[in-house]
Amino acid sequence: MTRLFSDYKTRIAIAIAAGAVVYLLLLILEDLLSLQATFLENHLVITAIVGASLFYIFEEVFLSFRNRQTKILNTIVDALQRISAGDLSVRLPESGTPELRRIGKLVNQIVGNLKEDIAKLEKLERVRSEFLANVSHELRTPIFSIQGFIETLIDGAIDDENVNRDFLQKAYQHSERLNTLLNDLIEISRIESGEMRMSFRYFDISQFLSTLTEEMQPIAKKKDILLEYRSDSHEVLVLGDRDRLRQAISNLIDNSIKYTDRGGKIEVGFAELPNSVRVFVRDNGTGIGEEHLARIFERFYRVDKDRSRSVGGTGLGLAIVKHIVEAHNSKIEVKSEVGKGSEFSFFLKK
Amino acid sequence: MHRHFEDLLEKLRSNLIKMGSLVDSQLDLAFRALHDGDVGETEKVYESEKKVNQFDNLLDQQVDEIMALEQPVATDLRLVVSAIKINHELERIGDVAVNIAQRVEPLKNYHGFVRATAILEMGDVARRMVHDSIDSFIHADAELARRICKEDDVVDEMNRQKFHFVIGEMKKNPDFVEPGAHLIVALKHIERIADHATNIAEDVVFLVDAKIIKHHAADNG
Repeated sequence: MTRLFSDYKTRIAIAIAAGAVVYLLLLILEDLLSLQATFLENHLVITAIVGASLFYIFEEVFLSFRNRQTKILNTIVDALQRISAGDLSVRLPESGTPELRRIGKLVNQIVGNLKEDIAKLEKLERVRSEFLANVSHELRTPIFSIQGFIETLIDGAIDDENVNRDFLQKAYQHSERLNTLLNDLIEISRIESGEMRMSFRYFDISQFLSTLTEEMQPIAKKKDILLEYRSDSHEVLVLGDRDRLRQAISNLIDNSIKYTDRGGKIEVGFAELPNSVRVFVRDNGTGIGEEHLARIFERFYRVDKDRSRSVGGTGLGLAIVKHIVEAHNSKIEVKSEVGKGSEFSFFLKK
Repeated sequence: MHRHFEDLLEKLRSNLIKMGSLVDSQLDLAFRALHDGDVGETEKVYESEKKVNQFDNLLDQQVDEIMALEQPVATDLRLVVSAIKINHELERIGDVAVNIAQRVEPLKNYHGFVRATAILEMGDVARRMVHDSIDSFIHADAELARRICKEDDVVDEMNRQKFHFVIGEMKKNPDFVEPGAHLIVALKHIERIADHATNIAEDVVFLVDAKIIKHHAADNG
């Protein structure tokens, strides 16, 4: 323990001075304390000893307090050094004087926030690299196919009338798939970057859904699927971006068509509530397993990769739907049972 | 702020958006009818006008009620004042849409002349200004509103160019005098639409930033 005054002569001088101060105080207060002058004269040495003891007691108390603070400050410095070296597992003691407690608390908060930010950044980085890997994979598949068909044609198949037309047709289909994929990618990046402004207007949801269902009929008919608009025809005004909603609901209907077998049924409609309407698209198709439900709105997530590619999905359709619905301050909900079908729904403000 | 007052303001805002939505699609109908020379479509424009007028009255009543019973201040007062002004502008745009629809009949046999004037190119800019001004109100987007104000000059310039083109055609061919006169009127209508859109945008800047920018008031301090 470092003493306040290490020189023993100074310490004796201070102890005597302290004794003298106590003695003088007693002199001043003698009337008040009703002490006899003789008592003081006889007890000069005692008062000096009391004074010296008081000095020592004061010194001990002061030193122990100062050492405690020094210890806390040292802990803080150690902790800050570890934090600056990148160790974020450090927690500071929230003890000592109110100021030290506040410092401890604030540093702990800063470290907590830093940890959260770093976790978020790491997640973003992971998502970004996964996304890039997925995009390059998805782009490569149709490009390789197109290259394959064209190479075969160049190598002589162009003169073979049995295959040339078929190969060109297939190359064209893959180029269309590439186009759809790029459009979806552009769309999703526009939505996610906030570049796309929503144009909210009131419009008649009944007319909107029945027209949209009608427009999708040719695609459903190709697969012998019964596509029906299931709600009343009376006018119900809702607030939303018509073009974006058209895109979202088309994606949902398109998905239902892809994952419903021939002869299946798809219903599109809305249910009116006091302040909102619930728009739904339901089918009696293959359905989605419970383990996949939480992830189907992620970009490029596929329940059945082979089937998804064979039906021409880009893996971005539902991610786009989710973004559009959320931009309407709503949430896309899905209920599904394998083998029985799925229902996607969301609410729109009236 | 008590619940009743909040509800009144929300209803006012919501009705203003409903009226904006109606005018937006009414304008779309009018321009499409002019472009296609489709007189049948103009009926929808006239029908829509009735609804717009109903909203005009409804909004007036709502504003009266809020002013008389709630005495709004600050932001709420700005919303109510802006609602009065935007309502008026929207109602005027509705009227102009009807005026444009009235030009469809006399111009239906001069399709080539209408297309050569490229009147719809100017119409598109004006319509987008109205569309964006409604968006700027819905999103309380003063920055977008300020951009709209700058576009008014583009429409004015287009109006001048197209006016000279129509006059030139009228001088060359006396058959074009009558449709030319109708086209000049239609051009004037479109120019007015852009003016109304600008006024709405200025009202939005007032609503959001509490700044008056009309007649370059901000420049003059």
